[in-house]
Amino acid sequence: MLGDCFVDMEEQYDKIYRYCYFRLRSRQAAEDITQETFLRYFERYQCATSEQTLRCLYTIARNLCVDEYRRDSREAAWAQPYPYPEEEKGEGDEQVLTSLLVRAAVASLEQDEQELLLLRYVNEVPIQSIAQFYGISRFAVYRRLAAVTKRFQAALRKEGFG
Amino acid sequence: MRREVREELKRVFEPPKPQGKRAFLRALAQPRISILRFALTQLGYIRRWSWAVSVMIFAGSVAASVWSPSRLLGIVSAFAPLLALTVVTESGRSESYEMAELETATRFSLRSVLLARLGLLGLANLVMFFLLLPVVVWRQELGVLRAGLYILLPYLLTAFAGLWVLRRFRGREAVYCCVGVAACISFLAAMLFETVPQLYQPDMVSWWFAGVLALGVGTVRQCTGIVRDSLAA
Repeated sequence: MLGDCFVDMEEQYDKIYRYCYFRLRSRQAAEDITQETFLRYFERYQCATSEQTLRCLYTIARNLCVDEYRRDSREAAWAQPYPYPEEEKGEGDEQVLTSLLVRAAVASLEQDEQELLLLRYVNEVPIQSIAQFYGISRFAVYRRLAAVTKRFQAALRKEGFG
Repeated sequence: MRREVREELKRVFEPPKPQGKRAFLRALAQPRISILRFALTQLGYIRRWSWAVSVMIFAGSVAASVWSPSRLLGIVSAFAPLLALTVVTESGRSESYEMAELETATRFSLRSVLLARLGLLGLANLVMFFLLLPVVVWRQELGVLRAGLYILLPYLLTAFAGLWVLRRFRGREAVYCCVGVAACISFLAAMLFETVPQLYQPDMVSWWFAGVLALGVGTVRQCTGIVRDSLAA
């Protein structure tokens, strides 16, 4: 359990690591920052709800990633492609094609748009926590998410996806 | 968004497998908790009968102060060992039920748990002592020091003997033994008050004081011994 918020720590470790990797594109740096995030969280924060815990974790991770950019001049890191997972290499043509189309559609989005997709659809962060993380209202998150999803789907269609 | 696209998104954003996750999660210390909050969590684990005995002793003493004020000191002295018994049996509960190994494997060390429970019950007994003391002083027309010594001696004697028993015997037998010791001391305290009133004369206060001091030191040593033993559990 994470703090008093009944958030699964192992699951959150994976998600924060995924977020850090998205920002840095370096396994070692992402892992170091993930661990630093948890250490700082336990050292300084006692959140009352799981939403607050998630907001704290993602905020610490984001700030540490920004520090890492400054130290290592990694501004363009997010634009680097993700490594192609090993298990996908043996898959059928249709699956590989879908994967390539989705990758291309994701790559056509801006970094903040990719980040929103990652937070909501991949890491499944609740809307409330995303709103707290960005410091905006829930309605604003809904609006931005709808706009990003629309752009993403348009990019998919443009790539020729079903 | 379609489900297959969502699933594909998860694969797209899949990072390389982390290398140090297991080691980090294993080594990560549990979140800290304040002493007060920890003590409050332990409050719930102290058996209800321990509190019930304390309340009954208090109620009995108050009733005795009304119905039989001349025998109040004897009654309170006889009750004091029962009060000490609640602390002794609570501190030996893990050993009695052979749960020490399990408790040491949980979030807090057995030492912390024991200290918290001993502290909480000790505090409760101290409150009870300070509530009963003025009643005894008022009803028996004694000085505060004398009344305190007469109540404390049987209490400390029971605590010392009970803790000594707990450190030397294991399992349920230790609890039965403690109950037996407490009953004997309780009976002895009541009997001495009735049959040997010379013991309660002002010229005997120095002996009572020495006894309380010696038993106090002995009880503290037994407490630290129990906590030290728990480290080896």
